[in-house]
Amino acid sequence: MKNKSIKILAVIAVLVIIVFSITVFGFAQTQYGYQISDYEVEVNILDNGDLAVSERVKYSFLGNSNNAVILIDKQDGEEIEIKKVYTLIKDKLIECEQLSAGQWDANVFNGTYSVLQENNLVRLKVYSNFKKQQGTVIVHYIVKNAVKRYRDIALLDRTFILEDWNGYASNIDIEIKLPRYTDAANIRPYLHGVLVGQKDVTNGRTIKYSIPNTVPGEYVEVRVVFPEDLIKNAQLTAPRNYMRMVLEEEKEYSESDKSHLLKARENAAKEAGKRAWNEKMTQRRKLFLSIVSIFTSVASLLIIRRAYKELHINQETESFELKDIPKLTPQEACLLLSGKIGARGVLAGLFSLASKGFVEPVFITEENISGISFQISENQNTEHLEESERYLLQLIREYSDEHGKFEIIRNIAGFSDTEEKEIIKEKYLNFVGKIQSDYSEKNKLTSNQLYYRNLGLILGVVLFIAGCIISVAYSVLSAYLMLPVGFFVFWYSLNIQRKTPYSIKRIKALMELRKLICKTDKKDKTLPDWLNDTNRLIGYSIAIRAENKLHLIEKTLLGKDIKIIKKTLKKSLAALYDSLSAILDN
Amino acid sequence: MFEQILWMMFLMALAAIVGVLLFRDKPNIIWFIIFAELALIIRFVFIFVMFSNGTEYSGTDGLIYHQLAKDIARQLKSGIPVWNLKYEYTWYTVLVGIQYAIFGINRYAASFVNSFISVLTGYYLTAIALNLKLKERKAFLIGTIYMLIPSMIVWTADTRKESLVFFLIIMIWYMSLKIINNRELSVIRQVLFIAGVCVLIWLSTLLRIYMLYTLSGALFVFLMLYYIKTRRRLALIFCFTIIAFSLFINFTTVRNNMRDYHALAMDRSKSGDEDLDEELRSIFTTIMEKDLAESINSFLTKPHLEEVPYITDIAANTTAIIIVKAEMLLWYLCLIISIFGIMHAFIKWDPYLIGILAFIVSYGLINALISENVPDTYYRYRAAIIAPMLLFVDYKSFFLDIKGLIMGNSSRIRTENL
Repeated sequence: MKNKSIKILAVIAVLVIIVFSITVFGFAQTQYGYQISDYEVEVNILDNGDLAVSERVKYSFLGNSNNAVILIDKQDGEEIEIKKVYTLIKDKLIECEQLSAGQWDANVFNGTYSVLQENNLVRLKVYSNFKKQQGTVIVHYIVKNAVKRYRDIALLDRTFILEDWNGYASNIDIEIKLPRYTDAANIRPYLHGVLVGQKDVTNGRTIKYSIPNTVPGEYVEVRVVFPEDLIKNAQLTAPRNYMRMVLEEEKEYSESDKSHLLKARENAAKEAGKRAWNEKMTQRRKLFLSIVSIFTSVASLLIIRRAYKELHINQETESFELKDIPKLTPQEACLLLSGKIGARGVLAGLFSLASKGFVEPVFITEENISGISFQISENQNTEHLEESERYLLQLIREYSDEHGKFEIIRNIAGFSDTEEKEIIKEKYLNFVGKIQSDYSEKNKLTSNQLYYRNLGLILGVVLFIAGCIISVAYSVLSAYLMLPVGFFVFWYSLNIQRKTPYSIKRIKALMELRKLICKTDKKDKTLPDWLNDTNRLIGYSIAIRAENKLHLIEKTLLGKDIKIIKKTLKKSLAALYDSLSAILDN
Repeated sequence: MFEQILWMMFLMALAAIVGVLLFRDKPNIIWFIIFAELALIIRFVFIFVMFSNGTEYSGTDGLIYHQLAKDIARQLKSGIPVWNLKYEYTWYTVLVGIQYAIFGINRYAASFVNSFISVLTGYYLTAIALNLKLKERKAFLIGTIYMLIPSMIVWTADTRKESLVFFLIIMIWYMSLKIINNRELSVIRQVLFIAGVCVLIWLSTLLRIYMLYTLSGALFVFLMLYYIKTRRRLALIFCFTIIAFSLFINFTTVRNNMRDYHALAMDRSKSGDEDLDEELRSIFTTIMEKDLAESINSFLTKPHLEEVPYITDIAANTTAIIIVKAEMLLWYLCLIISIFGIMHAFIKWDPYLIGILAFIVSYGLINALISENVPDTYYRYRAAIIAPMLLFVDYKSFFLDIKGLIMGNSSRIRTENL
């Protein structure tokens, strides 16, 4: 019990290690967070202190998300009102509709947005027909009470790229327009949160900020000081002068420790380096695994070729022709041709026993009851019979009635009890096992052949498993090649016994027999002497699937009409097949 | 609240009754039904948490379907017959609408029914496993795992169509197995079952348009392999019925619904009147733009562990993140183990399991190629293959066979085939 638990734990541990190693090394490192390639902002300061903002955000990567998120700064006392949201699809502006109750008939999956009010920001989520994780979003909104009015100055303080945003943005252009022109000397722009960026008062009304890029940890905060009389309709935030305070704050900011910004840059550079390294390694890994996949697939096929050659080394000199077929039992013939025994093998085996005089077949051809019964002949010596034949005879004896009569349909199809079916199943499997064992004994693989067979089996499995794992976990297309190759190698090795010269010669002879029976030209047809035995003929014709061509043989079988025999055989085979299927499905 | 309690009690009782009827002769039935009820209770709790802010504001697709169902209920109450109803997106909304029209508008009740359907799916998955001769303990384990998978609880508890989609898939496979396996079925029953499978395929197609191809294609593989192996005429008749019916659906239902198909985002710049060719072109463009290997990887493995915290719906929810990460690890484990199960199905040359595999592969390929490259989307769409995939999660039989083959006891495999 303890050992079993340890074994189970060991298997689980190995699998967990495999899974972890795949998750750590296998999957390509993903880029997280949004990437913005162009960020244009136009801010119009209204004379009541509100802002009319228009943002045009071009995403070069949506952070593995199906929506674009814009975070809008919201300070105390401010109110954000989203006016319009557009997405740009094929150079056409598509107006988005807001997701809210009552508007659900809109095409929710395309061109919609939702607004989430959070503590100090508004989260705008835009859903649209974004492709390749790229898209452009244009948003117009109003920020109420955004500009603070003091006795001496008006102050706009706004953050456009938030510190917690955790994304990358490039080409940030912010243009702020005052309500009216004023002396440029009265306008003082400030920029916080980035180490590199330009600010410029282009005329007495416009202030432009240009920041080449930001990385996670940086932010873009703009502050503009301008004459308070420009927003004369705005209420006073506080009845006091504020310019001195602004200057102090700016002095404090300029003297403050900006190591965190440097650190953010450093981290971003490290991150970029790591990503580039990962990308490079992924490419290398893919190349390496592609080569490995192709190489192992080709190598495996070569091994199979070697196995094929091995099968033909020291071929048995003994030939096997039509006349030799009786050396094979019909049930073995069945196994050779189809790889299985089934109903055909059983019925063919019964006729084989009949041809050896152990049973006597009787074709029942009455209108309502048609079928085949076998009458057991007593006191026969079974020594020269093969193991499987002896077993079949024993089974017939066991299941025959008191008169020694065994009726196929009645005896086999009559089992309805689950336990009985279970017993029959076991006996059938034993019968099959004996045929296979007889066959394996005669068709023994050499140690080299056995080696290649086992090697092929293991290699096939390994290749198939590797094909599944490498192709999926490492996204290597050529690794899919290992799946069919692995399967082929496995399948070939599994069926190697049917590819030995022993099997091939016999299959060839059996096919020849089938061809002969199926030949329509009766004049040219010279059947081997051993087929003069009617029961043997029927037995082999069943084994080689030619029982429905018996009419092509110019001969009266058992004094019966061939049509009736064919019909009876067909019916018996179908009944036997159905019964065996039901028994095996049990 | 009283109404909600009544619904829950009724569905729990119904789940127990169905469980007893389906598995009455099995010894471990009590434990299995207890786990099924537990799965149902967990879903109920989740529904209450989900709708804590009100049923009119929670969810995305689920909310849309709820709103549309309300409209359908209004239509029905105004005397419009079912066949003349105007609905959008999916007939699932009609189903919920009918429920609303009969029992009153109650999103909780619709979600409860979905939860019940999900438990039924677990039952029928177990029934399939039992019919495939898996050990009872293992079959019950498969059903229990399916019902208790955390993401499955999320996808099947809301008023979304997922629960029904998964149920239809499992029912189609269950019924197909029944037709082929149960030799005591009368001809009339066989015909009824085959007709039932056809109707279910049609309903699945209405829910997800490509289901027609994945299901009928996989059934074709199953039935043809079965016919080749057994020469049983029933398989051939069944197969050709499915093919004929699928062709009929292809030129009727699929054609009519292609325009409204929204798994791929429609290009609104085309003013919504684009013709079918344009839609097909758009699908092919999307497919051609994809890296096949990457897409398959994404479909089967996303969200990767490091992506889990970035899933919008669970971001900042540590418990949910841990649960999803654990589930992902188990899913990877399940994928690895199922490789052995798949190989075993091939060794046995089991037409049914190979058919199911064909369904998994075709469904996976289609979704890998047309779904958006978003972890949460892959996560949700992949849920449809989890139930059939669980049937392959077995390494033991494979290793026993390989051991038998190498040690020389190859009869174990061969003799199972007729």
